[in-house]
Amino acid sequence: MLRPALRPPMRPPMRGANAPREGVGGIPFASILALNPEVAFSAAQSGSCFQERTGAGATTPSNADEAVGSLKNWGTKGGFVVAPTDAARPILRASGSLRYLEGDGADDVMTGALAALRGVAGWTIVAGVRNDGSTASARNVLFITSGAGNTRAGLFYAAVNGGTALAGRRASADGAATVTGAAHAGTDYVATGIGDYTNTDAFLRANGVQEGSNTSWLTSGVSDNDAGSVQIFAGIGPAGFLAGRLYSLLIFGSVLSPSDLALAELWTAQQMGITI
Amino acid sequence: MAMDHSLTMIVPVSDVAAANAYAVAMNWGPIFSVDLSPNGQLPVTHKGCHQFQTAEFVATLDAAKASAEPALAALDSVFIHGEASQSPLFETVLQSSEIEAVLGTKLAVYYPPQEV
Repeated sequence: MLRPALRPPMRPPMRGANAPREGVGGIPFASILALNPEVAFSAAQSGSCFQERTGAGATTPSNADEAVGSLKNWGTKGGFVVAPTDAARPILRASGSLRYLEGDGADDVMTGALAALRGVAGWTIVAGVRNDGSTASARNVLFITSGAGNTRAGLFYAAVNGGTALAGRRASADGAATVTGAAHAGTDYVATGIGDYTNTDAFLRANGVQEGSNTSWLTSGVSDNDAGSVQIFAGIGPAGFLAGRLYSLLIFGSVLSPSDLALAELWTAQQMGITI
Repeated sequence: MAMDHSLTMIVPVSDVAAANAYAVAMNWGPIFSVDLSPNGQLPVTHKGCHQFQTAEFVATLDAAKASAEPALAALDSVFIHGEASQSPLFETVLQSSEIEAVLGTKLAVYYPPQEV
């Protein structure tokens, strides 16, 4: 049972020219980056969103109500996720000091060959998300995959139960395993998925509270290197497009300690202006 | 400029190749990618796309569709709907009487079973 401390220890903020400017007050983004996430997306951080679909070559920042063709990864894997066409670009929206990417639920998707979750014994995914679309079909927030049958982690609203689901496998030879949780349609919330290959456990959490588990998750060991592309707003196909919001997304190549998990979840809640 | 207009474009599957060729020529990419049918099941009868655009872009596209320019012939069968809204309206538009009047049927997205 994961029971994070109520007041996690604060880490010193990252210093220097490469430290991103703070987008939303409270827990510094640098404190999250100090946890070494492989992937860290934040719509609120200055320098994250660009209109062109050219990744590192993109130069035009996206302002509120403008399309996002490239989204910077502040995590250790670096790089960008990009939209395949202009029509597939989500829109950067503003609500007060908050920022989020809005997916249209039709064809918006962003992908990047970030080589995520390779050779790891577990992972933690924390997303600030909202599903505004139907729950009668799969609505995908995140897929780390190289194609059907080779997904390491998928976080989505599942058609089978209308709720949130976490699915994946450790290696391409494994079958997929799933954890399901409650529906959170039309609501900003912190969605957390944890895959622990060492203990073959998986957990799904909402707003810092566990709501699903699978204690016979996958096989023990470390993940292989067959997948690793990161895709947001859609699943394999791409299909199952998310109509909704993505404020932030953190992908760690480890099972976070309770205190670090609480820090990541609280920071994510902060990005949405909610209290957990 | 604010992309605060919801733009939906739909074309019968028989015209998808021409419509996408035109879209590529316009540097949009092959954007007619969403599978549609009257009941959300196979077979797919239409393909569509959705994006948020500026009011000026939507007006320009409407004017282009209404023109007699031969290069725009592929757009003759395209359903275009622009609405001043930031909210995702794609599924709402598919079920509207407006689309039924133009295409003869309401539509729904075909979602294949989610694979992992």
